Amino acid sequence: MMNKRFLLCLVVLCVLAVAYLAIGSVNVFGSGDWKILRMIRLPRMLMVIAAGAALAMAGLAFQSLLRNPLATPFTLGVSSGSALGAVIAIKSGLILAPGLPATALFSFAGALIIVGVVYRLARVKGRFTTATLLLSGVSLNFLCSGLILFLHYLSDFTESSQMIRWLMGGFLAITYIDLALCLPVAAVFGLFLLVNGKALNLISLGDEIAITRGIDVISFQRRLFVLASLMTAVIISVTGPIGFVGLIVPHICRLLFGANHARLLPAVALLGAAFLLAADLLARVIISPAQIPVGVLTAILGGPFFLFILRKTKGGD
Amino acid sequence: MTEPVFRAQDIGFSYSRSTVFSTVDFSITGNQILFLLGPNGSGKSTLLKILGRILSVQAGRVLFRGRNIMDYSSQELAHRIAYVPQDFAAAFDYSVHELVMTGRYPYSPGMRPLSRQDHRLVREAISLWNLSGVAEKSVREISGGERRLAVIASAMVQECPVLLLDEPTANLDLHHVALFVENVKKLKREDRLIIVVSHDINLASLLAQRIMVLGEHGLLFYDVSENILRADILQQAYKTPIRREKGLFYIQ
Repeated sequence: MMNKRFLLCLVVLCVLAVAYLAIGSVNVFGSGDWKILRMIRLPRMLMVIAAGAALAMAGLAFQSLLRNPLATPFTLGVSSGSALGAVIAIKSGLILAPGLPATALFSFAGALIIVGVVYRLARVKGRFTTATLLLSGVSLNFLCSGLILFLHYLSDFTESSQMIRWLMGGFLAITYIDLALCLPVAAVFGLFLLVNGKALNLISLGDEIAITRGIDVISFQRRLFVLASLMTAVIISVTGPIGFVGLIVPHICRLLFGANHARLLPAVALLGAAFLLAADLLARVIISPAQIPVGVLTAILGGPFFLFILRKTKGGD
Repeated sequence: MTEPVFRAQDIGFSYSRSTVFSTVDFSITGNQILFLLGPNGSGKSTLLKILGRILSVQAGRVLFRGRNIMDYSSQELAHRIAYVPQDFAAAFDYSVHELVMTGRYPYSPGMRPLSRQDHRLVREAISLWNLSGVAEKSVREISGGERRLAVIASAMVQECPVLLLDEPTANLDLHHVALFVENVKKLKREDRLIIVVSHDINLASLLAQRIMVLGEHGLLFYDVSENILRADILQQAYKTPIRREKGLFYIQ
Protein backbone atom coordinates (compact mmCIF):
# COMPACT_ATOMS: atom_id res chain seq x y z
CA MET A 1 0.00 0.00 0.00
CA MET A 2 2.69 2.47 1.14
CA ASN A 3 5.07 1.18 -1.52
CA LYS A 4 2.39 1.62 -4.15
CA ARG A 5 1.86 5.22 -3.14
CA PHE A 6 5.58 5.81 -3.15
CA LEU A 7 5.88 4.32 -6.61
CA LEU A 8 3.01 6.49 -7.78
CA CYS A 9 4.80 9.61 -6.52
CA LEU A 10 7.92 8.52 -8.39
CA VAL A 11 5.96 8.01 -11.61
CA VAL A 12 4.29 11.41 -11.21
CA LEU A 13 7.70 13.04 -10.74
CA CYS A 14 9.09 11.38 -13.87
CA VAL A 15 6.07 12.33 -15.99
CA LEU A 16 6.29 15.91 -14.72
CA ALA A 17 10.00 16.04 -15.48
CA VAL A 18 9.47 14.95 -19.08
CA ALA A 19 6.56 17.35 -19.50
CA TYR A 20 8.66 20.12 -17.98
CA LEU A 21 11.38 19.61 -20.57
CA ALA A 22 8.98 19.25 -23.48
CA ILE A 23 6.47 22.00 -22.83
CA GLY A 24 7.34 25.64 -23.28
CA SER A 25 7.26 28.58 -25.67
CA VAL A 26 9.67 26.76 -27.97
CA ASN A 27 8.86 23.21 -29.04
CA VAL A 28 12.33 21.73 -28.58
CA PHE A 29 11.48 18.26 -29.80
CA GLY A 30 9.88 19.64 -32.96
CA SER A 31 12.47 22.26 -33.81
CA GLY A 32 15.40 20.26 -32.57
CA ASP A 33 16.69 23.29 -30.68
CA TRP A 34 18.65 21.26 -28.14
CA LYS A 35 20.54 24.27 -26.89
CA ILE A 36 17.42 25.58 -25.16
CA LEU A 37 16.93 22.20 -23.62
CA ARG A 38 20.50 21.84 -22.47
CA MET A 39 21.30 25.36 -21.35
CA ILE A 40 17.92 26.57 -20.06
CA ARG A 41 15.29 23.92 -19.36
CA LEU A 42 17.49 21.13 -18.03
CA PRO A 43 19.38 23.17 -15.42
CA ARG A 44 16.14 24.89 -14.45
CA MET A 45 14.37 21.57 -14.08
CA LEU A 46 17.15 20.12 -11.96
CA MET A 47 17.17 23.25 -9.82
CA VAL A 48 13.40 23.07 -9.33
CA ILE A 49 13.73 19.44 -8.26
CA ALA A 50 16.57 20.25 -5.86
CA ALA A 51 14.78 23.27 -4.41
CA GLY A 52 11.43 21.47 -4.07
CA ALA A 53 12.98 18.48 -2.33
CA ALA A 54 15.23 20.65 -0.18
CA LEU A 55 12.56 23.09 0.99
CA ALA A 56 10.12 20.28 1.73
CA MET A 57 12.76 18.38 3.73
CA ALA A 58 13.73 21.54 5.59
CA GLY A 59 10.05 22.09 6.42
CA LEU A 60 9.83 18.57 7.78
CA ALA A 61 12.99 19.10 9.81
CA PHE A 62 11.73 22.34 11.36
CA GLN A 63 8.34 20.81 12.12
CA SER A 64 9.96 17.93 13.98
CA LEU A 65 12.48 20.19 15.69
CA LEU A 66 9.78 22.56 16.95
CA ARG A 67 7.21 19.79 17.38
CA ASN A 68 4.86 22.03 15.49
CA PRO A 69 3.13 20.99 12.27
CA LEU A 70 2.77 24.63 11.25
CA ALA A 71 6.50 25.36 11.18
CA THR A 72 8.17 26.05 7.82
CA PRO A 73 11.77 26.50 6.66
CA PHE A 74 11.13 30.22 7.08
CA THR A 75 9.67 30.23 10.59
CA LEU A 76 13.02 30.81 12.26
CA GLY A 77 14.07 33.81 10.23
CA VAL A 78 16.18 32.30 7.42
CA SER A 79 14.11 33.76 4.62
CA SER A 80 13.61 37.19 6.14
CA GLY A 81 17.35 37.43 6.76
CA SER A 82 18.10 36.51 3.19
CA ALA A 83 15.39 38.85 1.89
CA LEU A 84 16.90 41.68 3.90
CA GLY A 85 20.33 40.87 2.47
CA ALA A 86 18.97 40.82 -1.08
CA VAL A 87 17.10 44.09 -0.59
CA ILE A 88 20.25 45.75 0.78
CA ALA A 89 22.22 44.52 -2.24
CA ILE A 90 19.60 45.86 -4.64
CA LYS A 91 19.34 49.19 -2.84
CA SER A 92 23.10 49.70 -2.73
CA GLY A 93 23.46 48.58 -6.35
CA LEU A 94 26.57 46.57 -5.50
CA ILE A 95 27.99 44.48 -8.31
CA LEU A 96 30.57 41.71 -7.82
CA ALA A 97 31.57 41.57 -11.47
CA PRO A 98 30.07 42.98 -14.63
CA GLY A 99 26.64 41.40 -14.96
CA LEU A 100 26.91 39.69 -11.57
CA PRO A 101 24.97 41.59 -8.92
CA ALA A 102 25.73 40.90 -5.26
CA THR A 103 22.16 39.85 -4.50
CA ALA A 104 22.81 36.13 -4.03
CA LEU A 105 25.87 36.64 -1.86
CA PHE A 106 24.16 39.27 0.27
CA SER A 107 21.05 37.20 0.71
CA PHE A 108 23.13 34.24 1.84
CA ALA A 109 25.07 36.44 4.26
CA GLY A 110 21.83 37.97 5.57
CA ALA A 111 20.38 34.53 6.21
CA LEU A 112 23.53 33.42 8.04
CA ILE A 113 23.56 36.49 10.26
CA ILE A 114 19.92 36.10 11.26
CA VAL A 115 20.33 32.37 11.86
CA GLY A 116 23.37 33.10 14.01
CA VAL A 117 21.48 35.67 16.05
CA VAL A 118 18.48 33.36 16.52
CA TYR A 119 20.86 30.62 17.59
CA ARG A 120 22.56 32.86 20.15
CA LEU A 121 19.26 34.14 21.50
CA ALA A 122 17.81 30.65 21.81
CA ARG A 123 20.69 29.43 23.93
CA VAL A 124 19.75 30.19 27.49
CA LYS A 125 22.38 29.05 29.98
CA GLY A 126 23.82 26.56 27.51
CA ARG A 127 20.43 25.00 26.94
CA PHE A 128 18.62 25.19 23.69
CA THR A 129 14.87 25.30 24.04
CA THR A 130 12.38 25.15 21.23
CA ALA A 131 10.13 27.76 22.80
CA THR A 132 12.86 30.43 22.88
CA LEU A 133 13.98 29.34 19.41
CA LEU A 134 10.50 29.93 18.07
CA LEU A 135 10.09 33.26 19.84
CA SER A 136 13.44 34.67 18.76
CA GLY A 137 12.90 33.48 15.18
CA VAL A 138 9.48 35.03 14.93
CA SER A 139 10.54 38.35 16.47
CA LEU A 140 13.52 38.63 14.13
CA ASN A 141 11.17 37.95 11.24
CA PHE A 142 9.26 41.05 12.26
CA LEU A 143 12.42 43.10 12.59
CA CYS A 144 13.61 42.10 9.12
CA SER A 145 10.23 42.76 7.52
CA GLY A 146 10.26 46.21 9.07
CA LEU A 147 13.73 46.97 7.71
CA ILE A 148 12.76 45.63 4.29
CA LEU A 149 9.71 47.89 4.20
CA PHE A 150 11.87 50.83 5.25
CA LEU A 151 14.45 50.24 2.48
CA HIS A 152 11.65 49.67 0.04
CA TYR A 153 10.12 53.01 1.00
CA LEU A 154 13.45 54.75 0.31
CA SER A 155 13.86 53.12 -3.10
CA ASP A 156 13.14 54.45 -6.55
CA PHE A 157 10.87 52.72 -8.98
CA THR A 158 13.46 50.43 -10.61
CA GLU A 159 14.95 49.28 -7.32
CA SER A 160 11.53 48.77 -5.90
CA SER A 161 10.38 46.53 -8.71
CA GLN A 162 13.63 44.55 -8.50
CA MET A 163 13.04 44.02 -4.79
CA ILE A 164 9.48 42.88 -5.27
CA ARG A 165 10.58 40.59 -8.04
CA TRP A 166 13.24 38.99 -5.82
CA LEU A 167 10.81 38.58 -2.95
CA MET A 168 8.43 36.64 -5.19
CA GLY A 169 10.97 33.89 -5.79
CA GLY A 170 11.45 32.01 -9.01
CA PHE A 171 13.71 30.11 -11.36
CA LEU A 172 14.66 32.59 -14.07
CA ALA A 173 18.18 32.26 -15.47
CA ILE A 174 19.35 29.21 -13.55
CA THR A 175 22.86 28.15 -14.52
CA TYR A 176 24.86 25.01 -13.92
CA ILE A 177 26.91 26.98 -11.42
CA ASP A 178 23.78 27.50 -9.30
CA LEU A 179 23.14 23.80 -9.54
CA ALA A 180 26.68 22.92 -8.53
CA LEU A 181 26.09 25.03 -5.44
CA CYS A 182 22.66 23.80 -4.45
CA LEU A 183 22.58 20.11 -5.37
CA PRO A 184 25.41 18.94 -3.07
CA VAL A 185 24.08 20.94 -0.12
CA ALA A 186 20.59 19.51 -0.58
CA ALA A 187 22.00 16.01 -1.00
CA VAL A 188 24.11 16.21 2.15
CA PHE A 189 21.14 17.50 4.13
CA GLY A 190 18.88 14.78 2.78
CA LEU A 191 21.44 12.17 3.76
CA PHE A 192 21.75 13.63 7.24
CA LEU A 193 18.00 13.44 7.73
CA LEU A 194 17.83 9.93 6.32
CA VAL A 195 20.53 8.63 8.66
CA ASN A 196 18.83 10.33 11.61
CA GLY A 197 15.27 9.21 10.90
CA LYS A 198 14.97 7.51 14.28
CA ALA A 199 16.36 10.51 16.10
CA LEU A 200 13.80 12.71 14.33
CA ASN A 201 11.00 10.41 15.47
CA LEU A 202 12.28 10.54 19.02
CA ILE A 203 12.77 14.31 19.28
CA SER A 204 9.31 14.88 17.89
CA LEU A 205 7.96 12.71 20.74
CA GLY A 206 9.48 14.98 23.38
CA ASP A 207 12.84 15.71 25.01
CA GLU A 208 12.41 13.29 27.89
CA ILE A 209 11.65 10.30 25.69
CA ALA A 210 14.43 11.23 23.26
CA ILE A 211 17.04 11.64 26.00
CA THR A 212 16.23 8.35 27.67
CA ARG A 213 16.29 6.52 24.34
CA GLY A 214 19.85 7.41 23.50
CA ILE A 215 19.67 10.80 21.75
CA ASP A 216 21.92 13.71 22.75
CA VAL A 217 18.96 16.00 22.31
CA ILE A 218 20.67 19.36 22.63
CA SER A 219 23.50 18.62 20.23
CA PHE A 220 21.17 16.90 17.77
CA GLN A 221 18.76 19.85 17.79
CA ARG A 222 21.67 22.20 17.27
CA ARG A 223 22.98 20.26 14.28
CA LEU A 224 19.51 19.94 12.81
CA PHE A 225 18.81 23.66 13.18
CA VAL A 226 22.15 24.74 11.71
CA LEU A 227 22.08 22.30 8.79
CA ALA A 228 18.45 22.97 7.87
CA SER A 229 19.02 26.73 8.06
CA LEU A 230 22.22 26.59 5.99
CA MET A 231 20.59 24.54 3.30
CA THR A 232 17.55 26.78 3.16
CA ALA A 233 19.84 29.82 2.95
CA VAL A 234 21.78 28.38 0.00
CA ILE A 235 18.60 27.53 -1.90
CA ILE A 236 16.91 30.85 -1.25
CA SER A 237 19.99 32.83 -2.24
CA VAL A 238 19.55 31.35 -5.71
CA THR A 239 15.77 31.15 -6.03
CA GLY A 240 14.38 33.73 -3.65
CA PRO A 241 11.91 32.69 -0.98
CA ILE A 242 9.46 30.14 -2.36
CA GLY A 243 6.78 29.61 0.24
CA PHE A 244 4.33 26.87 1.07
CA VAL A 245 6.33 23.93 -0.30
CA GLY A 246 7.93 23.46 3.11
CA LEU A 247 4.59 23.68 4.87
CA ILE A 248 2.22 21.72 2.67
CA VAL A 249 4.36 18.87 1.42
CA PRO A 250 5.28 17.40 4.84
CA HIS A 251 1.60 17.70 5.78
CA ILE A 252 0.32 15.83 2.76
CA CYS A 253 3.01 13.19 3.13
CA ARG A 254 2.05 12.55 6.75
CA LEU A 255 -1.51 11.91 5.61
CA LEU A 256 -0.32 9.54 2.89
CA PHE A 257 2.62 7.83 4.55
CA GLY A 258 2.20 8.25 8.33
CA ALA A 259 4.42 10.10 10.76
CA ASN A 260 7.43 7.76 10.85
CA HIS A 261 10.37 9.75 9.47
CA ALA A 262 12.13 6.74 7.96
CA ARG A 263 9.25 6.39 5.53
CA LEU A 264 8.28 10.04 5.46
CA LEU A 265 11.61 11.48 4.37
CA PRO A 266 11.97 9.97 0.88
CA ALA A 267 8.30 10.70 0.27
CA VAL A 268 8.70 14.33 1.31
CA ALA A 269 11.72 14.81 -0.95
CA LEU A 270 9.94 13.19 -3.87
CA LEU A 271 6.65 15.01 -3.45
CA GLY A 272 8.38 18.32 -2.74
CA ALA A 273 10.20 18.03 -6.06
CA ALA A 274 7.02 16.98 -7.89
CA PHE A 275 4.96 19.77 -6.34
CA LEU A 276 7.40 22.50 -7.25
CA LEU A 277 7.93 21.05 -10.73
CA ALA A 278 4.18 21.14 -11.36
CA ALA A 279 3.93 24.67 -9.98
CA ASP A 280 6.82 25.97 -12.05
CA LEU A 281 5.50 24.26 -15.17
CA LEU A 282 2.19 26.03 -14.63
CA ALA A 283 4.02 29.28 -13.94
CA ARG A 284 5.75 28.97 -17.30
CA VAL A 285 2.71 28.10 -19.42
CA ILE A 286 -0.23 29.90 -17.81
CA ILE A 287 0.42 33.24 -19.54
CA SER A 288 2.97 31.95 -22.05
CA PRO A 289 5.20 33.30 -23.51
CA ALA A 290 5.42 35.41 -20.33
CA GLN A 291 6.07 33.71 -16.98
CA ILE A 292 4.67 34.12 -13.50
CA PRO A 293 7.20 33.93 -10.63
CA VAL A 294 6.62 30.48 -9.16
CA GLY A 295 6.58 31.84 -5.59
CA VAL A 296 3.42 33.76 -6.45
CA LEU A 297 1.82 30.63 -7.80
CA THR A 298 2.74 28.39 -4.85
CA ALA A 299 1.24 30.97 -2.51
CA ILE A 300 -1.95 31.36 -4.53
CA LEU A 301 -2.40 27.60 -4.94
CA GLY A 302 -0.90 26.63 -1.62
CA GLY A 303 -3.02 28.80 0.64
CA PRO A 304 -6.46 27.48 -0.35
CA PHE A 305 -5.14 23.95 -0.77
CA PHE A 306 -3.74 24.01 2.72
CA LEU A 307 -7.00 25.30 4.17
CA PHE A 308 -8.79 22.48 2.38
CA ILE A 309 -6.47 19.92 3.95
CA LEU A 310 -6.81 21.47 7.39
CA ARG A 311 -10.58 21.28 7.18
CA LYS A 312 -10.49 17.70 5.99
CA THR A 313 -8.19 16.57 8.78
CA LYS A 314 -9.76 18.21 11.83
CA GLY A 315 -7.17 20.94 12.19
CA GLY A 316 -3.45 21.11 12.57
CA ASP A 317 -3.39 21.05 16.35
CA MET B 1 26.47 -6.67 50.50
CA THR B 2 25.64 -5.98 46.86
CA GLU B 3 26.52 -2.65 45.30
CA PRO B 4 23.56 -0.26 45.16
CA VAL B 5 22.10 0.60 41.74
CA PHE B 6 21.90 4.29 42.58
CA ARG B 7 23.83 6.20 45.16
CA ALA B 8 23.12 9.89 45.59
CA GLN B 9 25.86 11.77 47.38
CA ASP B 10 24.85 15.13 48.80
CA ILE B 11 22.88 16.04 45.72
CA GLY B 12 21.23 19.41 45.32
CA PHE B 13 19.00 20.74 42.61
CA SER B 14 17.27 24.04 41.99
CA TYR B 15 15.30 25.55 39.16
CA SER B 16 16.20 29.12 38.29
CA ARG B 17 14.57 30.65 41.34
CA SER B 18 13.65 27.92 43.77
CA THR B 19 15.71 25.23 45.44
CA VAL B 20 14.01 21.85 45.18
CA PHE B 21 16.37 20.06 47.56
CA SER B 22 19.92 20.28 48.80
CA THR B 23 22.34 17.76 50.34
CA VAL B 24 20.15 14.71 49.84
CA ASP B 25 21.90 11.40 50.40
CA PHE B 26 20.61 7.88 49.76
CA SER B 27 21.28 4.52 48.11
CA ILE B 28 18.84 2.38 46.19
CA THR B 29 19.45 -1.32 45.76
CA GLY B 30 18.18 -3.39 42.86
CA ASN B 31 15.47 -6.00 42.54
CA GLN B 32 12.63 -4.11 44.13
CA ILE B 33 9.76 -1.72 43.56
CA LEU B 34 10.38 1.65 45.16
CA PHE B 35 7.72 4.33 45.45
CA LEU B 36 8.49 8.03 45.70
CA LEU B 37 5.74 9.75 47.67
CA GLY B 38 5.31 13.28 48.91
CA PRO B 39 3.17 16.38 48.50
CA ASN B 40 3.08 18.42 45.29
CA GLY B 41 6.24 20.40 44.73
CA SER B 42 8.38 18.22 46.98
CA GLY B 43 10.54 17.26 44.01
CA LYS B 44 9.50 13.67 43.31
CA SER B 45 9.45 14.09 39.55
CA THR B 46 12.64 16.13 39.66
CA LEU B 47 14.40 13.36 41.55
CA LEU B 48 13.13 10.77 39.09
CA LYS B 49 14.43 12.88 36.18
CA ILE B 50 17.80 13.16 37.90
CA LEU B 51 17.96 9.37 38.21
CA GLY B 52 17.16 9.14 34.48
CA ARG B 53 19.76 11.85 33.70
CA ILE B 54 17.12 14.01 32.07
CA LEU B 55 18.19 16.64 34.58
CA SER B 56 21.63 16.84 36.14
CA VAL B 57 22.38 17.76 39.73
CA GLN B 58 24.05 21.07 40.49
CA ALA B 59 25.65 19.84 43.69
CA GLY B 60 26.90 16.42 44.75
CA ARG B 61 26.80 13.50 42.36
CA VAL B 62 24.76 10.49 41.41
CA LEU B 63 26.52 7.17 41.04
CA PHE B 64 24.84 4.58 38.86
CA ARG B 65 26.33 1.15 39.58
CA GLY B 66 29.35 2.72 41.17
CA ARG B 67 30.11 5.09 38.28
CA ASN B 68 29.13 8.75 37.98
CA ILE B 69 25.93 8.79 35.94
CA MET B 70 27.29 11.70 33.87
CA ASP B 71 30.11 9.48 32.57
CA TYR B 72 27.79 7.09 30.72
CA SER B 73 27.14 7.64 27.04
CA SER B 74 23.54 8.26 26.02
CA GLN B 75 23.51 4.93 24.26
CA GLU B 76 24.82 3.05 27.33
CA LEU B 77 22.23 4.65 29.53
CA ALA B 78 19.42 3.93 27.07
CA HIS B 79 20.23 0.25 27.46
CA ARG B 80 20.10 0.48 31.25
CA ILE B 81 17.47 3.01 32.34
CA ALA B 82 14.02 3.41 30.78
CA TYR B 83 11.72 6.28 31.67
CA VAL B 84 8.01 7.00 31.39
CA PRO B 85 7.25 10.73 31.45
CA GLN B 86 4.32 12.25 33.29
CA ASP B 87 2.98 14.07 30.24
CA PHE B 88 3.07 12.82 26.74
CA ALA B 89 1.54 14.87 23.97
CA ALA B 90 2.40 13.80 20.43
CA ALA B 91 2.51 16.55 17.85
CA PHE B 92 2.15 14.06 15.00
CA ASP B 93 0.06 11.00 14.23
CA TYR B 94 2.38 8.15 15.13
CA SER B 95 0.55 4.86 15.46
CA VAL B 96 0.60 3.05 18.81
CA HIS B 97 2.72 0.40 17.13
CA GLU B 98 5.25 2.98 15.96
CA LEU B 99 5.39 4.56 19.40
CA VAL B 100 6.11 1.21 21.07
CA MET B 101 8.78 0.50 18.46
CA THR B 102 10.73 3.61 19.49
CA GLY B 103 11.59 1.68 22.67
CA ARG B 104 13.75 -0.60 20.53
CA TYR B 105 15.64 2.24 18.83
CA PRO B 106 18.58 2.08 21.27
CA TYR B 107 19.30 -1.39 19.90
CA SER B 108 19.34 -0.43 16.22
CA PRO B 109 21.12 2.91 15.89
CA GLY B 110 21.24 4.82 12.61
CA MET B 111 19.47 3.35 9.63
CA ARG B 112 19.67 -0.25 10.78
CA PRO B 113 16.16 -1.74 10.63
CA LEU B 114 14.66 -3.36 13.72
CA SER B 115 15.40 -7.06 14.05
CA ARG B 116 12.90 -9.88 14.13
CA GLN B 117 13.53 -10.09 17.88
CA ASP B 118 12.69 -6.36 18.20
CA HIS B 119 9.43 -6.85 16.34
CA ARG B 120 8.55 -9.83 18.50
CA LEU B 121 9.12 -7.85 21.71
CA VAL B 122 6.98 -5.00 20.37
CA ARG B 123 4.14 -7.39 19.50
CA GLU B 124 4.32 -9.02 22.92
CA ALA B 125 4.28 -5.69 24.73
CA ILE B 126 1.30 -4.49 22.71
CA SER B 127 -0.72 -7.56 23.64
CA LEU B 128 0.53 -7.54 27.27
CA TRP B 129 -0.74 -3.97 27.69
CA ASN B 130 -4.03 -4.76 25.94
CA LEU B 131 -3.34 -2.44 23.02
CA SER B 132 -3.84 -4.89 20.14
CA GLY B 133 -7.17 -3.32 19.23
CA VAL B 134 -5.67 0.15 18.83
CA ALA B 135 -2.19 -0.79 17.60
CA GLU B 136 -2.60 0.84 14.20
CA LYS B 137 -4.50 3.87 15.48
CA SER B 138 -2.87 7.26 15.91
CA VAL B 139 -1.65 7.99 19.43
CA ARG B 140 -3.69 11.18 19.20
CA GLU B 141 -6.95 9.35 18.56
CA ILE B 142 -6.92 6.85 21.43
CA SER B 143 -8.02 7.55 25.00
CA GLY B 144 -5.71 9.16 27.54
CA GLY B 145 -5.48 5.89 29.46
CA GLU B 146 -4.55 3.90 26.38
CA ARG B 147 -1.95 6.53 25.49
CA ARG B 148 -0.42 6.17 28.96
CA LEU B 149 -0.23 2.39 28.60
CA ALA B 150 1.31 2.78 25.13
CA VAL B 151 4.10 4.95 26.54
CA ILE B 152 4.64 2.45 29.38
CA ALA B 153 4.76 -0.39 26.83
CA SER B 154 7.31 1.52 24.76
CA ALA B 155 9.54 1.98 27.82
CA MET B 156 9.13 -1.67 28.70
CA VAL B 157 10.42 -2.98 25.36
CA GLN B 158 13.59 -1.05 26.08
CA GLU B 159 14.30 -4.02 28.39
CA CYS B 160 16.30 -2.05 30.91
CA PRO B 161 17.20 -3.28 34.39
CA VAL B 162 15.92 0.06 35.73
CA LEU B 163 12.45 1.38 34.95
CA LEU B 164 11.42 4.88 36.08
CA LEU B 165 7.70 5.71 36.01
CA ASP B 166 6.30 9.18 36.67
CA GLU B 167 2.66 9.01 37.79
CA PRO B 168 1.93 5.93 35.68
CA THR B 169 -1.64 5.53 36.90
CA ALA B 170 -2.78 9.15 36.67
CA ASN B 171 -5.90 9.27 34.43
CA LEU B 172 -6.16 5.51 34.26
CA ASP B 173 -9.56 3.95 34.88
CA LEU B 174 -9.85 1.03 37.32
CA HIS B 175 -9.58 -1.60 34.63
CA HIS B 176 -6.29 -0.09 33.41
CA VAL B 177 -4.97 0.31 36.96
CA ALA B 178 -5.62 -3.40 37.53
CA LEU B 179 -3.74 -4.19 34.32
CA PHE B 180 -0.89 -1.97 35.46
CA VAL B 181 -0.63 -3.67 38.86
CA GLU B 182 -0.70 -7.10 37.27
CA ASN B 183 1.96 -6.26 34.69
CA VAL B 184 4.26 -4.49 37.11
CA LYS B 185 4.16 -7.57 39.34
CA LYS B 186 5.19 -9.64 36.30
CA LEU B 187 8.00 -7.24 35.52
CA LYS B 188 9.22 -7.38 39.07
CA ARG B 189 9.85 -11.10 38.81
CA GLU B 190 12.47 -10.38 36.20
CA ASP B 191 14.90 -8.91 38.69
CA ARG B 192 14.45 -5.24 38.02
CA LEU B 193 14.55 -1.99 39.89
CA ILE B 194 11.26 -0.18 39.34
CA ILE B 195 10.90 3.32 40.74
CA VAL B 196 7.42 4.85 40.70
CA VAL B 197 6.45 8.43 41.46
CA SER B 198 2.85 8.46 42.57
CA HIS B 199 0.20 10.24 44.56
CA ASP B 200 -1.66 7.02 45.15
CA ILE B 201 -0.83 5.68 48.60
CA ASN B 202 -3.06 2.67 48.11
CA LEU B 203 -1.20 1.77 44.91
CA ALA B 204 2.02 1.99 46.90
CA SER B 205 0.63 -0.39 49.51
CA LEU B 206 -0.15 -2.88 46.72
CA LEU B 207 3.22 -2.75 44.99
CA ALA B 208 6.00 -1.09 46.94
CA GLN B 209 8.74 -2.89 48.86
CA ARG B 210 10.35 0.35 49.94
CA ILE B 211 9.08 3.90 50.00
CA MET B 212 10.89 7.19 49.92
CA VAL B 213 8.91 10.18 51.15
CA LEU B 214 10.01 13.64 50.09
CA GLY B 215 9.07 16.75 52.02
CA GLU B 216 9.71 20.44 51.67
CA HIS B 217 13.38 20.17 52.49
CA GLY B 218 14.33 16.92 50.87
CA LEU B 219 14.21 13.36 52.10
CA LEU B 220 11.70 12.93 54.93
CA PHE B 221 11.45 9.15 55.31
CA TYR B 222 13.02 6.23 53.52
CA ASP B 223 12.22 2.72 54.71
CA VAL B 224 10.49 -0.54 53.90
CA SER B 225 6.87 0.14 53.06
CA GLU B 226 5.40 -1.38 56.27
CA ASN B 227 7.20 1.28 58.27
CA ILE B 228 6.03 4.13 56.05
CA LEU B 229 2.45 3.17 55.32
CA ARG B 230 1.14 4.18 58.72
CA ALA B 231 -1.40 6.87 59.34
CA ASP B 232 0.90 8.85 61.66
CA ILE B 233 3.86 8.91 59.23
CA LEU B 234 1.73 9.84 56.21
CA GLN B 235 -0.05 12.48 58.25
CA GLN B 236 3.32 14.05 58.92
CA ALA B 237 4.36 13.82 55.27
CA TYR B 238 1.21 15.28 53.76
CA LYS B 239 0.28 17.51 56.71
CA THR B 240 -3.26 16.19 56.37
CA PRO B 241 -5.30 14.01 58.76
CA ILE B 242 -5.25 10.50 57.35
CA ARG B 243 -6.82 7.34 58.72
CA ARG B 244 -6.43 3.72 57.80
CA GLU B 245 -9.31 1.30 57.56
CA LYS B 246 -9.11 -2.33 56.46
CA GLY B 247 -5.74 -1.69 54.84
CA LEU B 248 -6.87 1.36 52.86
CA PHE B 249 -6.00 4.98 53.50
CA TYR B 250 -8.60 7.72 53.64
CA ILE B 251 -8.50 11.45 54.17
CA GLN B 252 -10.24 12.19 57.40
